Amino acid sequence: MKKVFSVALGVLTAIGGFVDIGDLVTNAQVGARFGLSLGWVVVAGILGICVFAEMSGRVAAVSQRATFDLIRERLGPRMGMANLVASMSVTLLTFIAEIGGVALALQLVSSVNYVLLVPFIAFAVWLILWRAKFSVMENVLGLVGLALVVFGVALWQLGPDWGDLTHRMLAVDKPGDEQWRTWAYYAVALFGAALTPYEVFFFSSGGVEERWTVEDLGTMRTNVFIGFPLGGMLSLAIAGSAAVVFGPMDASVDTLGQVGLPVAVALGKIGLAVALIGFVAATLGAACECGLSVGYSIAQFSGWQWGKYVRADVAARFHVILVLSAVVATGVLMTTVDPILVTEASVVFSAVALPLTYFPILVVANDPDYMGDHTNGRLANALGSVYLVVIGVAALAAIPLMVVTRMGA
Amino acid sequence: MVWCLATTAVLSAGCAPGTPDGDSWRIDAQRAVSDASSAVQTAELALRQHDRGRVFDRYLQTVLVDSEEAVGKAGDTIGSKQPPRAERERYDAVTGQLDEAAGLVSIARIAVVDRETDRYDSLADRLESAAQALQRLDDDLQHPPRTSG
Repeated sequence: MKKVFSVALGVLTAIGGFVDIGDLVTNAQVGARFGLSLGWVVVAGILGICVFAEMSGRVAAVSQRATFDLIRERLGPRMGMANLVASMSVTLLTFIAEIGGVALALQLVSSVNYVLLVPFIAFAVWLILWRAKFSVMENVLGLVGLALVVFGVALWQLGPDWGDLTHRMLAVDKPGDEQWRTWAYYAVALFGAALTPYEVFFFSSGGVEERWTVEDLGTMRTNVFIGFPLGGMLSLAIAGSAAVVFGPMDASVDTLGQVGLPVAVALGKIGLAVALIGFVAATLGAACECGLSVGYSIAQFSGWQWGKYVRADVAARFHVILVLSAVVATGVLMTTVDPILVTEASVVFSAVALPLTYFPILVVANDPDYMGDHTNGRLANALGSVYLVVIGVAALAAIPLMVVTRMGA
Repeated sequence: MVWCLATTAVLSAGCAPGTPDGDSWRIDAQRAVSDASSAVQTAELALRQHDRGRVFDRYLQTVLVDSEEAVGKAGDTIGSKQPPRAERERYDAVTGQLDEAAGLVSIARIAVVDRETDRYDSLADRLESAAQALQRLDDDLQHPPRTSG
């Protein structure tokens, strides 16, 4: 019974913790402009994150070391440094976006300007990272994040033409008034949002924090292969709701307030309140995961003691990084930069950093010295290789597409 | 001396806004009008939902403030661009309608902050008309200006 509860809890937190500010904003933007015609990218992204999260989780469970702990050792300091710079920069950018996301969500509740809220939120995030138990932080925020299921209910309540929605999702096409390059830009952005590097950083390091062993592989796979796809369904529901409400108006979505409006249209104040709770939990949870991931990546590369499973004074440098990350995020957001713009940039730069994040995972997961009998099977290698090619194309196309489309204008 | 003159010439050229060609001005104008139209429609949608009791006051207020900023930004962006000679007439139309839309969204925001709920319905109607006008302008901007004669 305890085992069943543990698996169920893991799946639920995986669902609730899947969506972050990047998914909220990008899916709503894409839904409003392209309907569900880019829904297949979300599906491809979910499959990709499942493939690599399973690999990194397996590495953590088998070796009891986080994947990125092994990269420098296995691939040398140059590759390790390239991986660190690319992944950590994007994770820090995502961290800034998530804190901005919490501030925007609270602004919707309080109507206090988000800039004034940022220092308090950054402090709260740091306090959670400093004081809260890892499992409490993950489970509470993940479970509350399930409130975003309200988007699925809203979509159903809005009564869309399901046949038309499904047809648009399956047909690789774009609305007549959009250009293919803009369509491609948003495809790359959605892909980047689904495969954000911090997700595997956090997943593999979290496995070490929770002391996974080979016996936990089944639970880990259940979380990944059931929880992540169901979490990804929330992304599609957000896109679908925006498509139904904003599509006919030919209006674009540029603010978090707009993201929540379809829920208000469908379910009224109660639905909107639930969506707001979901916004706060999803962005706060992701902010905690990103903050920890910044600390994990630097500490693991440098060979420092890291993690919340050791006393703070033992992992002092790790905790200093957490403090500095919160200070940097506060400083950047206090310049009044638009958090939505930071979010848009973070998902595109995510796409750029993907090969440097995911290639090393594939290498380490195939190394029998670390993995023993648990190296990748044929299917994992085939999928991993195909995804590396796709990831490479997305990474090469991201910046040129961002320039020529002026960030999807 | 030559370097000083060249530097002065380059700097003074940098101070004056460059004149984009007709196509690129039209694309910028279309983007500004489209952004403003989205913001105005969002403001209208939020007001109507509030009338039906589906949106909180503070949520509505934030949505209106965001819309006001978006319309203002759209107006500033296109207003600071030098229009090509052939587009002067439409420049006036674009900036005029954006100013009008910005003013209207500001009026709506003021009403929302002051909780003048009895005005929401008529303000939503006016926002709807403004959005329709912006959409007509957006359609018109898809084509080069009509030459007289």
